[in-house]
Amino acid sequence: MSAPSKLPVIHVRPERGAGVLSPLEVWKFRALLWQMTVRNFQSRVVSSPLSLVWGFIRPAIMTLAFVYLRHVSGADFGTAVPYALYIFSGFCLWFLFQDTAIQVAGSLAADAGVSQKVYFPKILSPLVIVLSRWIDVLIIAAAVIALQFWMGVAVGPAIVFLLPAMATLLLLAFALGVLFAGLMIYHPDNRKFLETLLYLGLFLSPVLFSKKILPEVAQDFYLFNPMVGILSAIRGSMFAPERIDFLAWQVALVFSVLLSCLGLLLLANAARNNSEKI
Amino acid sequence: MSAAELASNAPPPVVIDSHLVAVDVRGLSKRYRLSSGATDLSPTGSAKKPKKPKKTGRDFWALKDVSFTLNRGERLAIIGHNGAGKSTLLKLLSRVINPTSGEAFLHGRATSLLEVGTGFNPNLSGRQNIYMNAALHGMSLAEIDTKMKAIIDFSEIGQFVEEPVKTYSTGMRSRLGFSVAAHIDPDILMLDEVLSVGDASFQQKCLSRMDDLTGNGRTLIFVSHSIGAVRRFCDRCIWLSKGEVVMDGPVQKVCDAYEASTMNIAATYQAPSAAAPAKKTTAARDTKQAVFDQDASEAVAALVSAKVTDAAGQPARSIKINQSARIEVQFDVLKPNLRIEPALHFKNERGELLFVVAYTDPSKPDALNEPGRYTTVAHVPDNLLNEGLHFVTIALVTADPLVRHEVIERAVSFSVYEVIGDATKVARGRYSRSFPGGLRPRLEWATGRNDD
Repeated sequence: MSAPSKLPVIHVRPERGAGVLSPLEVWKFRALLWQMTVRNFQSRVVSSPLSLVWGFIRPAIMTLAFVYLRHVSGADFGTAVPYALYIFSGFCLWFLFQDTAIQVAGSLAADAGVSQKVYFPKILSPLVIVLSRWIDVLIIAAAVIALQFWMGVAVGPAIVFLLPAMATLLLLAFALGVLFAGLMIYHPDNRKFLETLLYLGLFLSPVLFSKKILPEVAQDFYLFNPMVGILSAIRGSMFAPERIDFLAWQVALVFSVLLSCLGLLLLANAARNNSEKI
Repeated sequence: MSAAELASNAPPPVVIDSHLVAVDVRGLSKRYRLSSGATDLSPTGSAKKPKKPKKTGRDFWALKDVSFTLNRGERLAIIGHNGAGKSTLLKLLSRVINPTSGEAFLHGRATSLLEVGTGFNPNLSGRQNIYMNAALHGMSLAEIDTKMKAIIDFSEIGQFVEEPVKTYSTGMRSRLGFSVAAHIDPDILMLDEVLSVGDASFQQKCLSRMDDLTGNGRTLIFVSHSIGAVRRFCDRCIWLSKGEVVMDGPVQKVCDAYEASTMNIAATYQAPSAAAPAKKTTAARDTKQAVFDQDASEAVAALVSAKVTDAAGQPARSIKINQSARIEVQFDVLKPNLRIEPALHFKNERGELLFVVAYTDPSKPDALNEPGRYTTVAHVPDNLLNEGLHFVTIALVTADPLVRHEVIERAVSFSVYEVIGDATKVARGRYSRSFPGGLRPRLEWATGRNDD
């Protein structure tokens, strides 16, 4: 059957595996992606004006508590920069990672009211969360650099690596969030599992301590925690005395990419399997 | 009327021009699995350890093998009961859900409006929500900027556009939502019961805009429970039942059949005992009321048949609002000198009595005194009844003193409908919303200026 000339053709058909992953669909809906990102940011600012500075106020409060504990205990956490700067940067980055992952995991449910009335690629919902988080990245980076200058810690030439390092952090948050978005379709309680995992991760990652305090044999395996490479890359790019562990960062990058693919496949599969359930 | 009967009576398929196809639906089906956790807990009848409860589930086909082709510029209505599959079909074509099997091709830019104001964030301003809502319906940023003023003007919310939507009234939110939708410029527009927004004047604007949108070769798919709206807006109709197409054809024929099936409309009445009126019983019809003030064994008059016809005398289940109708009544007068006459009681679909018509045939000033079979016709003028269903109760009476010899409740029924484009010929004037009341007469107006 011939179609009217030059008109776009929309093909409605049973869902296929790659539907949710199609970059072409995302490109077609780029205007909506931008508007959703703007709306996400605007609604955060309007509903909670302090939400933007909360990204470093909460870490600052935690930092005060942990600096006091360290002072009382006299413990050495093996950091090359002042401990306050070290854990302030660690808390800022961890909370950014944690909030992003949880919001990405819940993004499909949050947009369900819209997606049941208007078509748009489902992948837009988690993408919007990650894109809107770049504002927080800028604010957090500014806060950490301000503290860094105040404490007299120099910025080295590795600062140019800050952008890819931050991108890896958000990619990992996206990957983990999408994976759990898929798992939450099967069972909503998986959200609690994600929250517990992230809480545990705070203490298993080099947020409060340097990996140098670990035994050497453990350090080799420790880089398989992707947050080791990411935190090392971000701190190393910002603080001149810190060194970037490129091997650990590459492991983190590969892990994040693979986890993203796995998460997207799981999400697509879960959406397809559950599309006919009432 | 059964689905099979209707299918066999369906009109010939609409002629398709392959170069003008807007929507091509091929065997579209949607299955749901009812997995509510229902568990088979039937007792085993033994003292052994009971088996693990077995989850039960069953398939529910919300839509089953629906196919049709829609040419550009056609206005298609989808009607049917709740759960018939109307909204499922629209959601499938809108890609909000995916089909289980089958496929469809939509040629051109398609926009669906399943809800007014989808995605509104109450904390953001009207303007900010316009950007978001318009982007959801496929508008680019440049398009939104270009149409922003028109959207705001159309919505009539004026300076409130900068205020958070949570401060808006329900009407304002609806107007803003429809206003965005009204400025989308799609080739195919899909609507699901969203036209009833705002006050009367705003509805008029919506309807005018609808006419603009669906003109110029644009295609409309309209889902509604309102048969009146369907008749006004659409030229073709698909009737769905239990997910399957019962009938597909011109809107009047399909709506007539749908109403006849679902609303128990009968344009004709035939007394079961018409051949032997003297032996008739009061149980001839369920709705038949016992003869008032008169013993059935001493019947003096009996209704034989009745029918609703159009002005040309053809039986009609539906009558255009600006065309006259005829109620043709055939009855027997069984005893002399009792001044028998028919009377008609018009009721609407809610059972409210609209008016009673007395027998005023000038050729029979003394009513009917001689036994025999009579046929009389009452002409219902055009522009008298309102849109909707009408039921006619027929009574055979002696007027003074009043004696009701026979009353057949809801003997015949018909629907009155209006089509768009007849504004100057009907009593609607510049109003667009549904008119209240059972009558909608068109009166002659004459206006002069006092200072002339």
